Amino acid sequence: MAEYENFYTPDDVDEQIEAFLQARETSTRDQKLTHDLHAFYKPDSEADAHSLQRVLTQLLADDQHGQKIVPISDFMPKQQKYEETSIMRGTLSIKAGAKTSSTLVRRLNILVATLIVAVLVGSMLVVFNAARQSHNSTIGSPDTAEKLGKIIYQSSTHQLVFNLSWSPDGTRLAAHIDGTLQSWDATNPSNVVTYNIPATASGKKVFAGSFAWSPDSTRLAVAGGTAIYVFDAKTAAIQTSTPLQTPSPTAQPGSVGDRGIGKIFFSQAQKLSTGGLSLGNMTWSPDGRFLEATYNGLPDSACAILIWNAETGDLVETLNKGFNGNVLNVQWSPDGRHLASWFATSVLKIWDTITWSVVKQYQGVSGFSWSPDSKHLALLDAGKVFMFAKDARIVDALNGQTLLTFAKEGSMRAVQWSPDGTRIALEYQKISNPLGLQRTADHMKLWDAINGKLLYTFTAFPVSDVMIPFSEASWSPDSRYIACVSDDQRIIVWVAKLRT
Amino acid sequence: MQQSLNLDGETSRTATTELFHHHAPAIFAFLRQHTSSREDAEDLLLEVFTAALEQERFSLMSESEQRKWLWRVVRNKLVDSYRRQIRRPATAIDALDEELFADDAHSPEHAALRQEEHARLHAAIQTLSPLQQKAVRLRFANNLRCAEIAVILDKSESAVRMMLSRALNLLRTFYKEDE
Repeated sequence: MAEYENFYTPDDVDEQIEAFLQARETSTRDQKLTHDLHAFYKPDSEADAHSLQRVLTQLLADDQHGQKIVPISDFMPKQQKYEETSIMRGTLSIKAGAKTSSTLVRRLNILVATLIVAVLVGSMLVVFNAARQSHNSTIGSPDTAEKLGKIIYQSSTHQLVFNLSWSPDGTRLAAHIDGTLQSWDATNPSNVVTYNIPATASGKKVFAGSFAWSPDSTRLAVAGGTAIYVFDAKTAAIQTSTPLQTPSPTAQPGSVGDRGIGKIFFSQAQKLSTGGLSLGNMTWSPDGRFLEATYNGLPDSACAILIWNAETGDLVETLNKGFNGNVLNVQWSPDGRHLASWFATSVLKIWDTITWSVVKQYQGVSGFSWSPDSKHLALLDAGKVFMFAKDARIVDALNGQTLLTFAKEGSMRAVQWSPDGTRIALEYQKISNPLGLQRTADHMKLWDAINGKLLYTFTAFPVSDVMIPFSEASWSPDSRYIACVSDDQRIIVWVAKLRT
Repeated sequence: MQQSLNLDGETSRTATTELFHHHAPAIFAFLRQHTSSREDAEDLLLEVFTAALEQERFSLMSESEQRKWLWRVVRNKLVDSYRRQIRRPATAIDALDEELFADDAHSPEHAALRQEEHARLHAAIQTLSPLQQKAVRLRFANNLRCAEIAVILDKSESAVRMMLSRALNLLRTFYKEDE
């Protein structure tokens, strides 16, 4: 064994290597070592560059034929087709695999088809039965046959549903469905209103981005590239549009809401191809005075939480000091006094909404939800696998004291406290890893917020195995129902609390 | 850098290319570590990015959500490919071994061996543990930093920093002896 020295240190090894590689001469042995290693692996590096170029060329060639959402059923032949091209390249392993997998695919197809028929017949009976029972009834009407987990509504399958959210008055649901933002009566899904962002001057379509209901449920604020649009919820007429690059003229000089600081922020932000910024996590403050949205750019220091005056459209705060990771979720406390912001670095910061200073910070958080009285937080403790939690906790929001720990089986990806404060809904994630170990989990579970006991497990639909780092469920304001999205992209409303 | 993919023509191609250049090198390095051939890794990489282009939701995700989504799909695709391998008959696995050797014969290390000045370095690298060799390769062949290598090797960043600094401290002793 050769003599060992601690010249390279764990803390600085990246910087040491880069410094030696940047040096042109190779007079010292470390310059020589790093240059030799670089040269040694150069053929590998070049081969990888060629591989990347081959894949990109193929990708762009496919892309030229037009982008469209391809149903899963159409995806199989495409995979087989690509395997055939691999065979053309003479890859033995793929060749053998293709034969086997095509036979398997045929067998699986028969099996899947049989299962689908069985499931279809079964689900038709269930839907027919549910429809018959809920015929002429509304969500708010008495129903003695109701039981936990009973599905009172399910839509047909869509290609993609997300940001499903209940209006604060409980009458409407809204979501992005297949690329458009829609709302509909929770009791009458045929009454659909679609909200469209005006196209750019050159006619390019602008996608309706993140959105939020106004506290009185009459309006929707929607991020649309260069502006935030406020729509009349019923008519879809645009009431106001707030251009993004307008820091407040009334902000105090030197404050974070200062026009100068705002200008610097916007000048550095990455613009969308259609103009403006891609904003996320739009929220409306509970008192209706402020709108909040996040901007996540590169580098991480370019991330920010932006607060606008909802009436005047002035940007009043740009929270980005000391940010070192993307902002994944922001929620106002129900009393509006605090704003909780959760970062990709697993940090949760609680802001005072008058002074805009951080009053409490948590580490190792992979999800959160405010209690309806604004005193507590339900936190998910980050586990080892990506962002999925190992357990859930209830803490005193401002002093951080843990009051209850529950759901220790882990693999949760989102938490939602019911508006009446009695229960906590956890959404679960199927976890798989390259070793092939797989752990299937139940879709959602309801836990008692007082004693941490499991109340109900919702298993009607399989858990998605596509990583989705945000919630796909929404409590109805009366806490009786949960609207969620199934893995096959159906909107489902189920009973989460019985009438007492 | 958030990428918008649901655009037309040239803009779409530019967005796709930007997205690819941003994420593909690290993902490809990961796939090379976990697949038996370069072709397998290329196939899986194409599948991952095709899935991203077909996912309309993708363009609405923030950069970090896009990264997480891509890595989730990468891992899922890899699991699928392992399952396909397991289902292959024994003869196919023999073929796979041949394929491995064939690939090795064309590997950069093999090519480097032909160059006298790299023969000693190759010997020095062989004294490293397999994991250290992987880390050194990812650092110098793929130009990845410790945080990125950690994701690929499924280790903590501090473990990778320790591993890489130890490997380099060991390698430099060979140079000392040379001098």
